[in-house]
Amino acid sequence: MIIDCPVCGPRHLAEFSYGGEASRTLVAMENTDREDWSTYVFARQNPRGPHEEHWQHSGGCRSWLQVRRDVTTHRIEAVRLIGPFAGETGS
Amino acid sequence: MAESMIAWPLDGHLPAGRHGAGSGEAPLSLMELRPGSIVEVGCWPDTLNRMRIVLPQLSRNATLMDLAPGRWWLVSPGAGLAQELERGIDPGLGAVVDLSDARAVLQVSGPATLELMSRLVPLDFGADRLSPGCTAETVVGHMGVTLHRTAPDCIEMYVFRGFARSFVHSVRQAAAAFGYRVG
Ligand SMILES: [Zn+2]
Repeated sequence: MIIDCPVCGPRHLAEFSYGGEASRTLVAMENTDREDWSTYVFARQNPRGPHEEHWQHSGGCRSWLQVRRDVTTHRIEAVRLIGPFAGETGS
Repeated sequence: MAESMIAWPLDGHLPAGRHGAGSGEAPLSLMELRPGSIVEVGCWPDTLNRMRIVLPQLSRNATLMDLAPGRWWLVSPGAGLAQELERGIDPGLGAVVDLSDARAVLQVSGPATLELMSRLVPLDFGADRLSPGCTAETVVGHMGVTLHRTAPDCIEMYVFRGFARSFVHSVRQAAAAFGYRVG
């Protein structure tokens, strides 16, 4: 599998670390509802098809990316840089 | 005086002479580089454009390497570059970290350089991604490495100093298939 890092260009899977499903939103810290936290921590969409996920280019530029990957075919449909330098390409 | 106290990370791990396969002129040459300064400079998202203008002016004769948005390395033969940059970069503009003693640097050169690299790193040297002058961060046997291609047949590799021995072992093993010279 090859991910086209917006900073580094196409790189092999060996350089990346999976960072989990990207569509979850963190529960507010003052919220103590067990159901809300249980859903946040454990519930996943686990689709068969396109999936929004976080990846870090840990063996490269260290950037965090949001990747839309079809989990049945590993086809990467979109990659974008997230975090403070979101939208930048290259250095 | 202090200079003679420095223990370079690859000292003793690159014995001089011709090693590995073949005989006659070796297609590879390995050498430890000993830059006096390696400095990382970072900036904030809102100072990115200003840093892109300021940094080349401050870098003078240092080699400026682009690593990622808001992250650069500067390498120079002489010591003291970090202190010099700190004077020109206030915390509102960015941050300066001296890495001079934190990396081992190995230079590979010769006609088999790219063939050797293709056995070490998962980069596509066939595509025109890492043309001479370019920088890339990647992995060699799970060790993070920063590559700088300084000429078509010459690549400099920077690794964490603590990985120096394992790293040079990996490179020497891969290079032995071609034959290489040290010194
Ligand atoms: Zn990258």
